[in-house]
Order: sequence, then structure tokens, then C-alpha cells
Amino acid sequence: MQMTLFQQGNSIFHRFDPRAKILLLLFFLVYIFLPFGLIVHGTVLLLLIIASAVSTDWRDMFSPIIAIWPILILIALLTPPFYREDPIGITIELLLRFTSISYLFTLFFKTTEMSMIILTLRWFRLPYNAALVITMALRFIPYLGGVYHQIQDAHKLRMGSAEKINRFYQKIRSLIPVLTSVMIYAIKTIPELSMSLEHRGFGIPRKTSRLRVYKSLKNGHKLFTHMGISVIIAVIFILTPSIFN
Amino acid sequence: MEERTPNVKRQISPAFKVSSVAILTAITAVFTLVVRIPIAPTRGYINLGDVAIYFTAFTLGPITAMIAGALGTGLADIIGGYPQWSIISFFIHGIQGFAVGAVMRGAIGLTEQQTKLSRVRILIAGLLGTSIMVLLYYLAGAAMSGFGPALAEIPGNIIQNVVGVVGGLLLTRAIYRAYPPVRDFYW
Repeated sequence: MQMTLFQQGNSIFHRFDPRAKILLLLFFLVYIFLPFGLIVHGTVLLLLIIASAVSTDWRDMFSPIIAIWPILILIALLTPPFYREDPIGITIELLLRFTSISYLFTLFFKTTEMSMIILTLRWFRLPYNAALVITMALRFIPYLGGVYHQIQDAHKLRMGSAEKINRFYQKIRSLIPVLTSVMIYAIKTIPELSMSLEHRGFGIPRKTSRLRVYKSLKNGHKLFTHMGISVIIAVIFILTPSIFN
Repeated sequence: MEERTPNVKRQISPAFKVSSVAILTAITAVFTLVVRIPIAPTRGYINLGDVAIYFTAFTLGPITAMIAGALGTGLADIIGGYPQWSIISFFIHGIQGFAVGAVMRGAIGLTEQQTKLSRVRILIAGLLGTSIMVLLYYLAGAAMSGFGPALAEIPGNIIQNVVGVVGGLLLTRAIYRAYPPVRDFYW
């Protein structure tokens, strides 16, 4: 099971500080919804496509569109009947908006490691327990995914060739014992996991060690620079629409 | 197993709470990612994430269902290649899990006889969970992609929730029988 969208790379987006990157993500998320007109939103999408091409393999440049093409067709077909004034313009605006949101998130997750995202959220004061839950869940997702496939294979073997499942409802029905087995397997790990946590000192009021940290002194200037760049980018994008209007 | 008596407040350790939320988050993500039935036109597929959310709400309570539903579906969207839906899924499934768990709170009995889930509460919980998910996804979808595609998403979301309620209930009953200590996991 592929656990993340992250792709290794050395682009400017990979090297950009995740704390500044997350703020830029939020800025653009709001910006995309603001009524700046088709030219501005089209430019934003074009820049995001270019950024996507620069950040990872250029052949993956259109992968977000490939993932969302059914909804783009639906937007194109179903939006015009809902609007009497300028249906084409609104349809294009919605197409640009949805595609931009998809590119924005894909770009962020393709260029930011999951561990760095959790570290960044901790830096933004995410509680320790919440970060621990996310980290443990990420550890257990591939493991339980593997367990699911093992149990599914075991059930298939038990059914034999004469009872091979072909029909849709039979496939759905055959899922119930598999899901039950996986759930019991997962539930049974809870007491063991909690005991492991307690043995490792969870709940004891003392400072815990960290594998990865933001070194404030070493990376202080980097964070300052990247935050500054983010603010400049935000200001440029806020001022740009007034040029077109 | 020691039989618990109703209305006795049990002490659940913080480690147990963290572990149960983490495991149910992982299970929600696995159920969302692994089983995909291509029906809903806009999201591309319906999944069994709701089965895990309803099971969690029925078995482990509203807080676990809220966090596991929110994080599990959010992470599944990120891992599964639909990161644009992750924030929306996070909030909607979190609210859905909490609401279903809150309705079911107290309906989960403690002895074998009492564990038979109240049909009325299940109906209310299912309707509430479905309404919350369908309505909030419609509003979020309308903001992101317009009213047309958001309307087209409604049947898929209803099917997904019906499957979630029925599947969650079947799973809860099967697990109560197969692994009785799960009754002590509610908090």
C-alpha cells in the first residue's frame, strides 16, 4: 500500500520551509474562492501546473486532472442549467476553482513529507497526543491493509474453485466475514498497544525525546526568509487583480 | 470476564484512549482505501469507511468515533490521491461520528441482554449520520464544484451511509459475539 503522495526531489518546493508552505496553502485556498475573475484564476491555475511540473516529474504534470476528470465533465455538463446569467463564465470559473484546489493540495503533499507535516503541526501547537495518534495511525494503516489482504486471500482459498464469487452481491456478502476478522484483529491490538505505550512511559509528566526537530537557531534565518517570501507572494497575488480590473 | 454493572464510571487510561483512537483511525483509513465500489460519480467511488465510523460510534463511543472518523477519512483521502477532499472529509466525518456516537450513548448496554441495540436509536443515529454527511458534502461540493455535481453526489452518499449503518451494525453484533471484551472498550 502506497502510504503517501510524497515524491522525493530537490526542487524549490521541496526545500521550502513546510511552516511557510502550509500558510501559503491556506492563503491560496482562500484566494481561489475570492471573486477575482477568470484571468486571475486562470493565471493561478497555470502557475500551479507549472509548479507541479517543476517540483516533480514533468510527466506527472497532468496527474491531478487525470484523477478528477469525471467531476470536471460533470461540472461542465451540470453547471449551466443552474445559472441564467453568464452560465459559461460561471462554469469555467468552477472548473478553474476545482482544478486549482486539486493542484494546490497535490503539490503540497507531493513536496512535503508526512513526518514534516506532523512536525509542522506540532510547531503550530498541535497537542502531543494528537500527533501521537496520527503517527501511530500512519504506522498501522499499511500493516492493517496487509492483514486485510491476507485474510481476504485465506477466505478465498477456503471457498474453493466451485464457489468462486463472480456476482456483485456475492462479492459484497463475502466482505462481511473478512471485515469482521480484520476488525477483531485490530481491536485485539488495542490493549497490547496501550500497555506498550505505558511501558514506554506514556502519561508520565516528563519531557519526551524527539527524532526530528526544527532547530530554531540553525533554521531561524531560513524560516524568516521563507515566511518573508510567502508574505511577498501573498501581497503580489492580492494586488494583481486590481491591475486586471 | 468480569461482568460490568451499568452506571459505574470506569477508569480508562490515557494510553488506552490514545491506542484505541489510533487503531480505529487506521481501520477507518483501511476500510476507506481498500474497498472501493465505483458508484458515486463525483468522488469516483463509494467506500466502507462509514462502516468503520458507525462501528466505532456504536462500540467505542462518540469521542473515538469523532477523532477516528475525522482523521481516518482525512488520511485516506491524502493517501488515496484525493487530497483536495481531505479537509472536508476531516470535518464532515468527524461531526458525523460524534453525532452517531452521541445518539447511541447509553444505548449500548453492558450485559448480554442489554447489549441488544435499541432499534429506534439505531434508526435515529443512522438518519442523523446520513443527513449530516449528505447535507454537509452537498454544501462543500457546491462551494467547490457547483450545485450540479454536488446534487449528483447525493445518491452515492446515501448508498454509502446505508451500507455504513447496516455494515456497522452487523460488524458490531458479530464482534460482540466473537470478542466479548470489546464491551469494556467503550468510553
